[in-house]
Amino acid sequence: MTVVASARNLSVDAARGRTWMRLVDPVDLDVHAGEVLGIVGESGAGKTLTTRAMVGLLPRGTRAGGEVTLAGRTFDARAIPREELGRTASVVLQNPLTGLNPLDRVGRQLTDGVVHLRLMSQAAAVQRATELLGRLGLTDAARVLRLYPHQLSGGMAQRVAIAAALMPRPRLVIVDEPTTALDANVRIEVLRLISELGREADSGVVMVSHDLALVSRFCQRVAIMYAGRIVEQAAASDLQATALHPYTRALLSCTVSTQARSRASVPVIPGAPPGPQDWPAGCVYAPRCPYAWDECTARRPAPVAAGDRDAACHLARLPNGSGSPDVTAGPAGRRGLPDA
Amino acid sequence: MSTLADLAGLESGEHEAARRYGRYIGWRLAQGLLVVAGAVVVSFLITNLSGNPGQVIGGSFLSPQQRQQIIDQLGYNRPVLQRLGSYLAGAAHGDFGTSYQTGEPALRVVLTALPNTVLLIGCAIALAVVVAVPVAMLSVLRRGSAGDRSSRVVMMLAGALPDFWIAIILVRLLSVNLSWLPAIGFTSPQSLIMPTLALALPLIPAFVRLLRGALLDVVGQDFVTVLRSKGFRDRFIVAHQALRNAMVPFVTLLAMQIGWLLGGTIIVEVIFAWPGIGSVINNAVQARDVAVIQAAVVVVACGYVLLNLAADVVVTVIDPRVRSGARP
Amino acid sequence: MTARAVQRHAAMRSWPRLQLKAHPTLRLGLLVLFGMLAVAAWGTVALPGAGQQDLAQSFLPPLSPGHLLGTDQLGQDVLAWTSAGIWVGLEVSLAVVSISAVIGISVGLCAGYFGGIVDAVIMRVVDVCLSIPPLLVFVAAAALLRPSMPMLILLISAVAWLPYVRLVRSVVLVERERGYLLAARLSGATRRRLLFGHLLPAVSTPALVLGSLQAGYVLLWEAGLSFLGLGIRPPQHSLGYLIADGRETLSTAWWVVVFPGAALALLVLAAHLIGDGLRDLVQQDVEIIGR
Repeated sequence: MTVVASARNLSVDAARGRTWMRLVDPVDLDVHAGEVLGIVGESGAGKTLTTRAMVGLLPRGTRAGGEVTLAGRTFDARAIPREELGRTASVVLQNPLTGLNPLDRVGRQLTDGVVHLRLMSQAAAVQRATELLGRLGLTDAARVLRLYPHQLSGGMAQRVAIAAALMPRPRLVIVDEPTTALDANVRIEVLRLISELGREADSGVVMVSHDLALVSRFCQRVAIMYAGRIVEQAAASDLQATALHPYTRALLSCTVSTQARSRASVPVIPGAPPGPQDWPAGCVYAPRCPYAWDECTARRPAPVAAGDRDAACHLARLPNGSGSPDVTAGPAGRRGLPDA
Repeated sequence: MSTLADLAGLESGEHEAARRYGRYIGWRLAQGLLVVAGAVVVSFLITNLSGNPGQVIGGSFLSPQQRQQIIDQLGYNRPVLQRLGSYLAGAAHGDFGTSYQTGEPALRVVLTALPNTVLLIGCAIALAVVVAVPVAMLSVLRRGSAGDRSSRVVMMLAGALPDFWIAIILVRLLSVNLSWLPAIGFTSPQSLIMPTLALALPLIPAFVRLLRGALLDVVGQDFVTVLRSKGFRDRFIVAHQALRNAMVPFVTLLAMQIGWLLGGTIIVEVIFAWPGIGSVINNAVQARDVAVIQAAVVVVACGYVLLNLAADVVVTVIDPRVRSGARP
Repeated sequence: MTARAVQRHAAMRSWPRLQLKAHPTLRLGLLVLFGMLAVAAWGTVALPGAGQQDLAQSFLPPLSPGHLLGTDQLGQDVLAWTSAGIWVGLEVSLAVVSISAVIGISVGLCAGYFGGIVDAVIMRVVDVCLSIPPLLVFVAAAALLRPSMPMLILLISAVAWLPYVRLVRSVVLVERERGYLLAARLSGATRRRLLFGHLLPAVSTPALVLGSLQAGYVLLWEAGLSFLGLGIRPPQHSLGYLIADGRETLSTAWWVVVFPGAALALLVLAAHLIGDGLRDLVQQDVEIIGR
């Protein structure tokens, strides 16, 4: 599968007085055409910052490091040209209504970007906008184009936002917490639309969310982030079957299944993730990990790769040559990770 | 109302919006009238604070006999409530008493001088806006840099300068020493320059601060992130979209500022002998011409109300949310 | 709101603390203020009383022996007068800010806390009063009353209390939205405790910011009125009066106008810097990591 966007050694720092504080440790990411990659993590894990860094949209007071490749062209993460971003990538924000300028009509906001970048003429842009709105389920597109944002309902606004993202035929679409601001009926609909996005337009979609269950259902690949690092990356199906990293396992067990009959209390991971100023020297999850041992607090685990998945855990060991990863005990005498 | 809306070709949903907007305008007009009425009362209070104004009228310019004559002529020998009543009745149809100095109706004295002040304020505001807009935009684009921080301190210093002090120094430099510009009166278009500068200079920092704040608010909103993701450069966004959005709060504040200037040009007008409301007020104050003082207070309040209404209209044109009655 | 947060708020709200180290604007403002106070103190203590006339010494330029900033047409020492003027200005300013703050905060608390008809009436009155430019009111009123310092203070206070009402009212409305007031009430707090223990501290910092900014305007208004002869006159000394005094002879004795004006500008600058600095201090830092 072709890679539409990738990041190598991507890091994000925040300015603190005269020094920089690291918010996202170097991460490597690949986004493939026709695929939805989900980035999952708690608030503050760095998911949004990572996606913003990938497209050069970091807020003031932060800087990026490393390299980003968009649609085949590689850039230093600090200097991604704005026009390149406009042509090849789009962002869909969490709250669709605030992503629209209240003073302008919807039609104008759909066409202004592509016309400004001279990607198509005004007339062609209007036609494409009408077409996209129609495909997204807004049949009276001509009327919607003339509306102002405050006249849209939540669901309509979300569709308009998605249409705006698709206008320049981007190779990469980043979607932020796409369903937090919507009610349940619209939620499923929107998620379905998003997962079709990638396949249809041959683009890659990155979906940022804190909800692992949702992501597993609608994404093909998943990356789990914790305290500024990616701790595991795998195909969604693999993740459900065998999670390698203890944090991923904990997250999976926290998910309350709707079929659960027992009234047992919902499992909770004790403690809280450390803020950037409190990152420990070794593995960042070690303080909360039930399997942690000396190696974990001493040395940062590098991602251990097997096929198309990896996990950053000392206890994830892979046999030589065999296809599937195998989690075994550590050196003799230490506790190891029990089987999933 | 519904027929008008039909004529305008509005759809049924927009009927309701137009009706709501009409009610909003009506309410604003009513508020304005209330304010003017309040101002009329306040003007009476001011001039009666220390007792019957007849006692101070004319100040030291009149002999006691002349004063008594004027008191009888203009009715200041009547009890307070009676005077209040006739004042209010007169005010309702534009009669605010007579200037004892010229015998003219006080209102006419004030209104004759009004255009000159309006001209002066207009020029000062225009100058201040023309300077403030690019400075504010630059400040937002370069915020946090050393240059921005030091320019803000400079701005603050400029805003701390008393306008009458600037006026005096300007007169000295440009008129006395260099003889470039006329120092007093309204003799030619060049006469406008120095008073405008004196008024505009303290305004610029205030405008920059207001506009900068408004721009920063806008730039922090989500839709600006979306605009950036579409490929617009920051400079373009600030100069076009952000500026338009920031105009909504700025215009409202601008109107208030102009309203305050209407009565605040007194000292500058005195220094430059500019024939506007300020000079009229100063003259009336020195001569204790009570009627003119009262008329001036009411006229200035009316000006303030009108300006705020004008600002509302401008905001309506810019912001579609107000048009449909949904207040932002 | 979590239970713990409600509990925390239901206890007495702590008063804000000031930290100077990280705020250059505030430091600069205080520096300028203390600089001016030092000059004024020296001018008052080290020199003979301001207003001492000595025609033999009239129109001395600055740096003349015994008269650092020169003298005016009546031989009065400019530095001595400027120093006295600084004190007077600060006195008026502090008095006005204190009085107007007390009145304005009280009225604002009432409007915000009691709401309803009380709020509506108060806000209408405030709107009407705000529609009349203050300078106009001062000039008109000062002309008709006998000019003196107490009267001037009362007059300016009569206008200066208005912005506090709007500010305090909006703060109270915001605080009412948060649950902790209700929680405190339910746990038995009296109304007085709510007002003094919770709302007053919440309002104090914005009011303080407003107060310092207002101090600057009061200084300018007082000087302007005194300039027109309607404010403070000898035997008391005002910077405005001195500037008016020197206006006639500007071409021969520029120092009589420039120094008092500069002193006034620096005082106002200090007020603005302190106000801005306090405002920065009060605003929460927007963490990029947080929401």
